[in-house]
Amino acid sequence: MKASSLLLDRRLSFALRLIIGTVLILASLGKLTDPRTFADALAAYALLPAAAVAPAAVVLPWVELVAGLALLTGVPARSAGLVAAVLAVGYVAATASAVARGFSISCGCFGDAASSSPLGWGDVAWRVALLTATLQVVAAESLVAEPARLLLRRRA
Amino acid sequence: MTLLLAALLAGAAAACGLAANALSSDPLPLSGPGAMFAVRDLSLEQAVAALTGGAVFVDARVAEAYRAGHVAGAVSVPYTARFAALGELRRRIPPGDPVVVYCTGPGCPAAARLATWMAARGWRDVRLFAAGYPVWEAAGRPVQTGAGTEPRP
Repeated sequence: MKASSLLLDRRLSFALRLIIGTVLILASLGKLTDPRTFADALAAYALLPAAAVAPAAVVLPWVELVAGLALLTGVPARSAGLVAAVLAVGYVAATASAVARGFSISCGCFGDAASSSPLGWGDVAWRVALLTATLQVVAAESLVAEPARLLLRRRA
Repeated sequence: MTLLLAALLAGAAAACGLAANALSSDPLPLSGPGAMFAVRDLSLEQAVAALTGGAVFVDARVAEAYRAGHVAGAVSVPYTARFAALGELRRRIPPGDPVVVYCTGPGCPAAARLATWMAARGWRDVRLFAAGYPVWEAAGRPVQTGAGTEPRP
């Protein structure tokens, strides 16, 4: 299958939605139950101003939960994909900057404590993969996807 | 339309988060000294006790401020010079030693950032004295002037 048709494939975007949705919901649950641990993990990235850490620790898990649920149910699939894509951009940037600056910190992604294994370039690669998946969902669920699919089918 | 819905989704989620925190039996403080994470903030008394207990004080202010007066025995690590000084800093302050970081007070972000930065680089016991040098000096606690332990260029 060509890359262009994969990008717009509805079955692929459905499968990806289920996967990303599940990951986001699992990620949110650990943080929702223990916002303090998440705030500590977030502060260790030394990216946000000190005053923004606590509000972000309170808000982020809920954004993940809502985006995850919306991706699973597909209502509204495109917008949920977009929110997930923005989250994924944030994950990629935060992880890459932490690894590039030589921080030996844990991800904190699933509400894990600072004692778990430190981040590396492999983690950055995983987040890039997640970002790619969210972009496929946004593309395949977009308004122009249907005419583009027809065009591809006619050309084949 | 997609953008609007996405913004609505994220906004609703954010509102849920803030509401859930406000209604929680143990809410996370969103502002003030209690909202500092990763490093614990010390009161003046705790900071004095830490100095007596042998903690290494780290002065995050610029070198001129350090020379004009600093906590007795403090090490000068201007926040902007931290990357260049990392190697030497590791030699001068062993990662196992307790560390207390301060600057000019709660309005000065350098101490909190330096403390987080050090904690992320392997110093295991990093604390913050957010009240900073003015409070320390006003309370008549031990101070020194001069170059003291500035990093060698």
